[in-house]
Amino acid sequence: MRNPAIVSAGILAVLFGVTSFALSQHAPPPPGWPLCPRCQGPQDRAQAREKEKVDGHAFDPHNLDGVWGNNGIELDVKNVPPFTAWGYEQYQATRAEDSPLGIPLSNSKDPMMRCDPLGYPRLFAYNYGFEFLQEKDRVVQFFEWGHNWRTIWTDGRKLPDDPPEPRWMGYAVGHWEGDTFKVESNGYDDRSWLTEDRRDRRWGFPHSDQLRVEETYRRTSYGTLDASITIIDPKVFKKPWTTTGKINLSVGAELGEYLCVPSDNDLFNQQYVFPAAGGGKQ
Amino acid sequence: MRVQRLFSAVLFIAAVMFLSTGVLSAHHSQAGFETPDKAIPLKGTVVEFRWRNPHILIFWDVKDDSGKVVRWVGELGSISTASAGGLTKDSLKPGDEISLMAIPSRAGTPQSIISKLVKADGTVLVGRAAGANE
Repeated sequence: MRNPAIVSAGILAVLFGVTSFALSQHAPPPPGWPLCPRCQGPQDRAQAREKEKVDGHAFDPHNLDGVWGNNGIELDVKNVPPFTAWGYEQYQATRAEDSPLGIPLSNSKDPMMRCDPLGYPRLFAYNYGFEFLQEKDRVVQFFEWGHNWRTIWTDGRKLPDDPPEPRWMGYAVGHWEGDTFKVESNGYDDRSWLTEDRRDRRWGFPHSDQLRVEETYRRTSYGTLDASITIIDPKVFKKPWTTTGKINLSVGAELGEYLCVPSDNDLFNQQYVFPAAGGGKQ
Repeated sequence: MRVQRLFSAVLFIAAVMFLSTGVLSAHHSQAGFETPDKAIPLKGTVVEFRWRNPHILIFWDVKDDSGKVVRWVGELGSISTASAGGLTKDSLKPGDEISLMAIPSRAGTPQSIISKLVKADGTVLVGRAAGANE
């Protein structure tokens, strides 16, 4: 039996490793227009870091402004908490359909496959880079993937106990505790996934309307953020689910435009993804 | 076979390099495709180079010994990752002759993931050994 993780790792290396690493040059951007975080190659990043003297650069730990990362922090799928009975049912319902040949139709139930918004917290785990813009009463977080944003209010307001309308990006408030920026959020639309299941992409992790998310961001150097996220959803999981990681400043980059375009996406699925499994899906 | 061993080695190195950088992001599952070691060599003529997200697609015609033409379609990365790898929207045009290594679908259909792509003039668009151009 093929191991999906090994197959995926190999093929992803082809799609993203070889094409990204193999060639060292890219089309030059217009003068004054930096590359997007994922458009930079390793050489671009190294040059930008050197030019901006990132190592040892002075920084204000209470200033998060900047373009960060290019790839999100994968949720810790090695330590998924136990599902509730209802949560397990929801998880099983995310499994991709099979073609008449018995081959999975990719991740056909994934909202991403039909250009639904990724929503939050999926954008924590799956992004092509984000930008924090810090204002007096809010921190705005822009995401290249989907070309959208969320506002983390720092004006002292509390999260709504019973959010009047679910949101794909949730309701978010933040405050500083020492040098750590803490974000709490709720009110999420339960049509989004927490993340695809990277142990086997045919599945994804669902959440309920009871989802609460706690995050921390701590700038440990000019070029590095320590981040954590805790998923709290008692309808789906018996325990909170925490993931930690580091996010690098994307020096010399600015967010590009990655829109999920339904017409392009439909063609991609109809002409490539679903025929590859030996079956169509309209 | 020496070429295949070399190709596998390049894939392995690329995988290690990429995995060591952190998270893998991909738009869709690859459960419908064979493993990279089952890539097959193909030659053909480009019909369309679709520079679009979520993944760039190349359509090309392959003529077999009997003259029958099969239209293949192959996938590359997203526009941003392909750009980082040196591709542009003008890297290929209809009529270009290309050689490829393609990881075929498990269903035996002419859909594939492209692991190596070389133009007729020898330009390697995908799959050059890491560091070869640095």
